[in-house]
Amino acid sequence: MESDPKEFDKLQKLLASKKKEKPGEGFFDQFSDQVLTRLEEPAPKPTLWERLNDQVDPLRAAAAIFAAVIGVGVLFALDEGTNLAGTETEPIGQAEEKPAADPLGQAQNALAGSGLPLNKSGAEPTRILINPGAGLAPRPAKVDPSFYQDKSASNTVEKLKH
Amino acid sequence: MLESPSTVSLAKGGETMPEWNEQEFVSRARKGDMEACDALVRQYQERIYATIYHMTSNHEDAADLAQDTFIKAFRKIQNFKGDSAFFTWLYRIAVNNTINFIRSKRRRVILSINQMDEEWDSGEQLLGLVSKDTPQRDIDLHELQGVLNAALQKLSANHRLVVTLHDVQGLPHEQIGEIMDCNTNTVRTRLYYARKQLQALLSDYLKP
Repeated sequence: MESDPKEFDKLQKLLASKKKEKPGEGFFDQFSDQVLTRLEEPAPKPTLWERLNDQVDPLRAAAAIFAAVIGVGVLFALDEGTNLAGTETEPIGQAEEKPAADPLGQAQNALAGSGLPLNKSGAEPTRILINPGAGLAPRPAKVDPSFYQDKSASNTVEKLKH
Repeated sequence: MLESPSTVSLAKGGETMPEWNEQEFVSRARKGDMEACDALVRQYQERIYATIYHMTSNHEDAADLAQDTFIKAFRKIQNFKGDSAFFTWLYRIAVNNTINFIRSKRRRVILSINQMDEEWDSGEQLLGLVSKDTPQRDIDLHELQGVLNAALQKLSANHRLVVTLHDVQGLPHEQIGEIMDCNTNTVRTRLYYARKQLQALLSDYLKP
């Protein structure tokens, strides 16, 4: 971004004046000796982070992390695809409606929070009939035979007997 | 003690002229030559200190960070591959060190302003830049320094750095890009916004 060269003229002069700010006299005469004295002291043990920083190239590390994320994503997507293939699809709107579950499993005789029936007695739970009526013998219906006798039409007028 | 590298004299074409052979000193420092380390410190100490000082506006912090910079550099000098100048590499260490320090001490900003060089006699000129409408009409040079440093401290670390390296230290955009690991256009953009911010912060003091 280029700006008008005169736009910041005064500001630049002011900033350039900072060059003249100097530390106390003799500061730089002793500075090098202080650095070299500290340099001769044993180096502090580098932290794990510093060692990693020195030994691992950040670009390679980033590439490895990216590859790992992509790999996990692909595996997850493949797994999801397998699950979908094994599930029958139903036409839209044709799916059997299921009654809403009891909110928070608060129904009477239900184990709070789980929605499971509470079974305190230890007795065997009732048998669930998957196909109601299956295995029962058919019984003929009891019907009055007069029901089937021929009857005159309802719009005929019976002659009165005198 | 080795004499200052700026006065190292080498014969060249029959003439004696000062020459700074950075590569030679770096290669000797790699081998653990303390005299070479001393020469490198003396060559760059003022510029490294100044950069850190203008970033922190605090003499004590600048002195500590400048020492840390050289110590880190010499301890890791084996990692210096020579892709850039030693000076640029050293600057990068100083800048990263300082930015980390600023981020960790963001809430503790204590200005300790260095004295202006006594030989410098353009204080009057500098005060001439100050607006007559300034809130403190009798602002002196020391106060002006304080105002300027306080304004610099309000910039982000990257903006402060680019202003320090370009407008205070006079480094070219390309070298600043190398130090900050970004391209020249980014340097120009940061410089523009940093100056805009500074101008707004100092609007009461600068003459229109």
